[in-house]
Amino acid sequence: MAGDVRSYAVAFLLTLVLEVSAALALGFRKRSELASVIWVNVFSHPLLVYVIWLVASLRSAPLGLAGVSVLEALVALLEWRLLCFALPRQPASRLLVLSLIMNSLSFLTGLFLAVGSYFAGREASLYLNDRARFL
Amino acid sequence: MKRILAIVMMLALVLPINARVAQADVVPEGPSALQWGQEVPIVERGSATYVAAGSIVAGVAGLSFGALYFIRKRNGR
Repeated sequence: MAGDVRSYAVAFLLTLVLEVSAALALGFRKRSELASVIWVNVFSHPLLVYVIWLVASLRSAPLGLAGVSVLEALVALLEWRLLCFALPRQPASRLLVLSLIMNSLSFLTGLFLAVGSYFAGREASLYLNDRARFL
Repeated sequence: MKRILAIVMMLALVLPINARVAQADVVPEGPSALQWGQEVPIVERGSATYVAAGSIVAGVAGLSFGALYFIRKRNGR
């Protein structure tokens, strides 16, 4: 249990670092913009991991790459709507691009790390492990 | 937006309960075998963990939505 919490914390921090970096790279530099990105992640990340964990537990099998991809796409849309809510002065299209890039970056990084840790024989984080087990 | 939050929080709370009820071996002959007033053992081994985790997720979602609402207000809307 403590190991799960720790691995979740690592996955969450990694996601935050990646997504805040993506926001900075895309020109979102104001404090309110970065705070929005962080709080949107606080909203969506536990929810995504919870659903992945719940479905995997109930099926007694990992969700699979297709299932995780669908959930990631839904999260990207949810984050976009939340960003539009928090930053109403920003154009919705710009926030959609931000959301898509942030989520693609974290998804692909997670996939890359999961594949790497799978072949290295090490246990990946709770979130990444689902992909690693599938692959 | 409030609707999204309400749906997310409801799912986070209700999904694990429903899932465990669906898994529980109390309806061997299908849903019609469940009688009105019949006690359904929702809290079985493991289900408390799902419900607790779902409640935490819903709480965190509520907290972060509050923070986003605060940011929106500070931005003048």
